[in-house]
Amino acid sequence: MTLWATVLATAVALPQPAPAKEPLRIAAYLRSGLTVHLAPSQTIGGLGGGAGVRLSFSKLWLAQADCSYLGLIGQAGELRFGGGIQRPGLWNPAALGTISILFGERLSFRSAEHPWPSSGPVITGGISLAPLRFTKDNRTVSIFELGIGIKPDLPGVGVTYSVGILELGHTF
Amino acid sequence: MKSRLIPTCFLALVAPCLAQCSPTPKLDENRAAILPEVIAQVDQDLLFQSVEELVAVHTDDTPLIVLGNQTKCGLTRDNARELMRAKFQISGLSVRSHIVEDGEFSTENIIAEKIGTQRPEEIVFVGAHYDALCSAADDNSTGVAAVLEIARILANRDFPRTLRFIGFDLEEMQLVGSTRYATTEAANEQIVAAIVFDSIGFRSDAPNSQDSLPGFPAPSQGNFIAVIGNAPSAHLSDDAWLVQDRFQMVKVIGIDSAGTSESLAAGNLMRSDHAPFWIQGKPALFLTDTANFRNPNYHRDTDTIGTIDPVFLKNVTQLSAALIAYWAGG
Repeated sequence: MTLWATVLATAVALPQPAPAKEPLRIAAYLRSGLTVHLAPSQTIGGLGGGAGVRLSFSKLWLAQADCSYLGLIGQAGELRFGGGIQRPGLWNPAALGTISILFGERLSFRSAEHPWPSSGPVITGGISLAPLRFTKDNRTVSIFELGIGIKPDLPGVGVTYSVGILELGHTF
Repeated sequence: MKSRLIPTCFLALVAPCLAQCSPTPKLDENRAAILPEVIAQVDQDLLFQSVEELVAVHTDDTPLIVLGNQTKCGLTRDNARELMRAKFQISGLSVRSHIVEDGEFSTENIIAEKIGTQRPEEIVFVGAHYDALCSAADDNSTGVAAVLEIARILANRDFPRTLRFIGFDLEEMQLVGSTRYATTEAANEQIVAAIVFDSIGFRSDAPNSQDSLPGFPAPSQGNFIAVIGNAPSAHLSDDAWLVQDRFQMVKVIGIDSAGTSESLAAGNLMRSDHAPFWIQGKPALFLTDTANFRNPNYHRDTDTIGTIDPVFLKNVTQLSAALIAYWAGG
């Protein structure tokens, strides 16, 4: 993860042509991947896909929201909100701060510390890196995105792991 | 549209949070009143004697099939079934067989019953498979012995609901007996609660004696009984937790499977005779020492009587007897 962050930071720091004043741009994207939240009291998530909307500001900054259906462990959904920075150009890596909300069916584990199963949404805060993201002619392709988030699961901690397999976007 | 969307999204997020804050379940004290007496009646010596007898009759039996060239690892069933029948009859229960002649192997589930006094159509059952591979001590003479012991204790009591004690045939061949029972006789019955045992007598305090799978957190010591349910059985899991919390019999780790357990990841939670009932939408709990995730003797000729922990088996049986009595009383 540190390696990806270093690569991304280097990429963003590379000298770029001075960006022209860019208007707000809107993109829609489809994504597929694996998201799973592992905690002492529950496991939720799975493999699936969904769609989202991304806003880009002055080429460098972006904000996005997406929702996905996840199967494998049960019927679950994920709402994800993110904001961050991207490198302009053909190679277009991005780093985002994210808030992920997982909801739906899950495996629950009862123990002395967690005697009653959880049923509410699992909200985690974290980061997501898209090191292999490319944009050309309003089309964006991203593979192998990595994300991680945490949430207290007192007396322990729950961690959400996310691996994006493929994302395809189109900017309007 | 926008004015409706915001409150809808808010409710979608907040409603589950409110559900999470729902009141903690409690035991019905009227039904719980008899539980100390039931728990005290579980006899460790009788339980262990049943395990010894079952292992002995499996050893003497002629295998239905033999696995590879391991002559000790045949699948045996007939002698164990007749032992169950005899012990049910000694307990004073009416006994019958559920026979299905279909395909390569016929099956004979054995069923003992005590009719409920007030709501006989509501059925509570406890079951275990009596067929076995190899030496059969933990898998599943322990489970059958627990069924026999609970039958012995509860046979002389009257309950509002019908009590059923079942020995399932051919679990070791893809749950054949329980599937045939769940999809025929039990399909249109009102099963309100059930426990299925499979391997409940192996325990270890050794560090790292418990294995698990990714996404299934478990203690490193294999010194607990796993109580496994699904969404339609969640209230039974709550009861198991409450009864254990009240009477402190055995360390319990609970697993509530996702939804109705049809997901791929739930496959390892569907490996015994409760699974056909889950598929039929019937509530049932699966109690196990987790078999091959703990017991190195699983499906080997080393699954012998000397590997069984009699106190652990007794404590698991106490918890189960209390639960069956509690549900039969409701």
